[in-house]
Amino acid sequence: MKSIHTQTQQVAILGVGGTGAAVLDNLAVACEGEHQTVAIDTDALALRGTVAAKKILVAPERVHGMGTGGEWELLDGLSLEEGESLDPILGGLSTAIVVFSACGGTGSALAAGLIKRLKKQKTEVVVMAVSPFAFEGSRKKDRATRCLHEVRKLADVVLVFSNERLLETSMAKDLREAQRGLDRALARTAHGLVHVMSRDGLVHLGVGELKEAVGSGADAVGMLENAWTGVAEAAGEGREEAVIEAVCEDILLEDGRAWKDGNRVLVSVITGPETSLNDFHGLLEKLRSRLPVDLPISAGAAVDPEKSESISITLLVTRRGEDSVLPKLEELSRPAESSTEEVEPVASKGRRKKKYMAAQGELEFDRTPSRFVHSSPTVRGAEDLDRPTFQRKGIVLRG
Amino acid sequence: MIMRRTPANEILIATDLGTQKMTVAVAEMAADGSLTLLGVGESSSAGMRKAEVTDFNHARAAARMALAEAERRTQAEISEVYLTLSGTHLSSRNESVRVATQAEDEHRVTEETLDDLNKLASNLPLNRDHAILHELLRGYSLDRGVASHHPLGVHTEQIEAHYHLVSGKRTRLQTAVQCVADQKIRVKGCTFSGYASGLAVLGEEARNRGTVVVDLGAGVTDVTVWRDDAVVHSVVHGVGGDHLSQDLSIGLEIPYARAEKLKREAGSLVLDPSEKDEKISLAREISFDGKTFYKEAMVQILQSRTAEILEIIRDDLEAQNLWGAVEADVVITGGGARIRGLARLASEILPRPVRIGRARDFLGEQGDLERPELATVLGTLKYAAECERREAGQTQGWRKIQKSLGRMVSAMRFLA
Repeated sequence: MKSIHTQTQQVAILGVGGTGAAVLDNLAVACEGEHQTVAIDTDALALRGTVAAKKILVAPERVHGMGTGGEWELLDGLSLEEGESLDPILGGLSTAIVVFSACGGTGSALAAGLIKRLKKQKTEVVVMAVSPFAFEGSRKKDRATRCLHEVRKLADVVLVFSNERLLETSMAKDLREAQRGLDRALARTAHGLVHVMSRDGLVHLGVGELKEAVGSGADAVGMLENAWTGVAEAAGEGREEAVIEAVCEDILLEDGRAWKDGNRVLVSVITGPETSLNDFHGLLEKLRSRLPVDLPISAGAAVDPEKSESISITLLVTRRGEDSVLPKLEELSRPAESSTEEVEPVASKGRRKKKYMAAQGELEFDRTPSRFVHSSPTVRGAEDLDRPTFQRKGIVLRG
Repeated sequence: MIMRRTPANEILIATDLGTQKMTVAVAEMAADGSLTLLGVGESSSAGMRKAEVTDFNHARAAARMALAEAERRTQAEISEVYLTLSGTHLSSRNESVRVATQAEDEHRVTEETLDDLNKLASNLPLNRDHAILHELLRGYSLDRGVASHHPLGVHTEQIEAHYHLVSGKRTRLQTAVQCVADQKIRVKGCTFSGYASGLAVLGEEARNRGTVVVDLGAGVTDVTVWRDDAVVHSVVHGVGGDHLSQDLSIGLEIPYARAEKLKREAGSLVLDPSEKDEKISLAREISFDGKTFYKEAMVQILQSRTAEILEIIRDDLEAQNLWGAVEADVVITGGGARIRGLARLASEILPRPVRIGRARDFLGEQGDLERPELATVLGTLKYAAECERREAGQTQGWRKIQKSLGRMVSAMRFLA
């Protein structure tokens, strides 16, 4: 735990694919304050619907803004590793939180390339990924494992939250609603992390502490789930006790898996300016005594001048894993998508997988005229054809 | 007087739920198959964008008004219609199916052989949420070589039928149909608007030699390529006249309705040297202070958008290697065809001669045939006539009844 920290860092939240966009939307709805957000997707309609500050449409020449629908043929080889359009958006970031689903869609396909790119410019990368339900089958599980294996080699911190946890909660009867709950929890977790990483505050929590809590790899247990989160906020008299009670009973922690498999706890506290360092330590002691197991705690606190009467806590339970115990990828069954290579072993010998550098363009959806706002967007290349041609082509009108 | 169907004449009604306008055309089909245009009813559209329903209640109300207007103008009782459909959700592809002929038939092509091919085509896989709109026959190949349009009775080991399939999102097709069906009017058949425009304006020679039909509608631009009397390619681009009006509205900072009116009344893609410094003044109205701007600015806006649409069409056909199949010309229909200077601009961008389409082969009111914006609805009347003729063939035997019904049903699978 480091002492008082006043430096402000530039932390952005990058949502990739449908899950990434959903988390960014929840961030806007459920979390107060301004966030630097970027939505990256292949689906123009979904991008138009999201509230992210910057929206990047990827591979329009391949999927014409229609999204990939998880189709392997469309996703195969997609990469964000190069291309100039993202540079001005990603440039200057000290830390990026990359949120995506590793369930085999656009997020899985693009995450690794994006992280490579961020690392190339020396940005610290924290990944928040969602792994699939067990009932979705071995193919999705294998895809997720491959994706996370790749991502763990690149990112500084990889937090994997499992959809499976939703089955154990009281929300299991309506999984769509449960997934929305998880999106909301991830949004609030990202919000909590951004605050303690970037805000002037009491106690700084940085990528180093997160790295220490998660480790650089994952064992068999933590491969598809190494993070559990609980978020709560309380205001007024007795708010400390109330918020501790609420966060420990958060629905996503209620099945006890976090306390069984987790071995570290990270706490992010956002509180008002009147809170002293002693108050903060007192709060942590209360929290420690309420936790069902005794685990090492790392904590950060940020001050929000508008929260003088309230306090919010993000509790992140993690499982630390090392590289040495990572499962070998070769042991995984081959993905069904590459079955053509199995059918034609001779033809596939020595064939190199073609990498497809996906074009990317920032779409200025906010300037899209309202006339077409309720219709399917018309996108060609990286251009939103619903915007006036003379504007896009920079034609100066006689006036 | 309300005109009712008699054994001698058949009243056909076509409805086009357009983005700007809802149009209903009524024709009488004589026993020899000739069509006499009785009249056209039009009313402003609502709840539509890019040829799709975006506000069901408004679209339904607009359809009701258009149908009432058509009844008033033509004195025809409208109880069933043929409907034109479009939208960017439509997709098309060419497919072939093959069967072997039977030894017991001495390897001759029989009606059953053709039925089998048709059944195979009807069962070709579609996207899960799509429904078939058309299975347009492109021709047959015998023993994987000789092409034929009329293979009945020919000896061959196997026969392959080539189709151009047009499908669309089931729910969007159903919503459009529902707008009309809610008026207690039966939708007897549906057709893709691009196909209908081609039927309206192309003669047999143009269809055979290879022609591109571009229907510049308000919401979308339909493109069909015809060759050997069949459609070999079709596509819907999600840009149209609405985009031109919107660009004018934004560029000249005038209300959308004024921009639309300006485009219709003074829209031009060319600027004569004498017009270089000419200004256009829009009069003051309630909630609009009036506006004066250079005509050149208007031309710049319209020209950039129209050129872009034409370039998209050119590049798309180039990518499909289709220009080689087009020996005739490019025919432009739709309301967008009315804008001054279009044929000239299109001739500069497209690699084939360009002309504005005119509907043909109708008796009766000839003035409406000159209007390119009516090509779709008039073509739908021709499609309706084709369906009715096919249906009339039912009386010639049970086998034909089955065949005809099968085709009708398969052509409207999404209506079920």
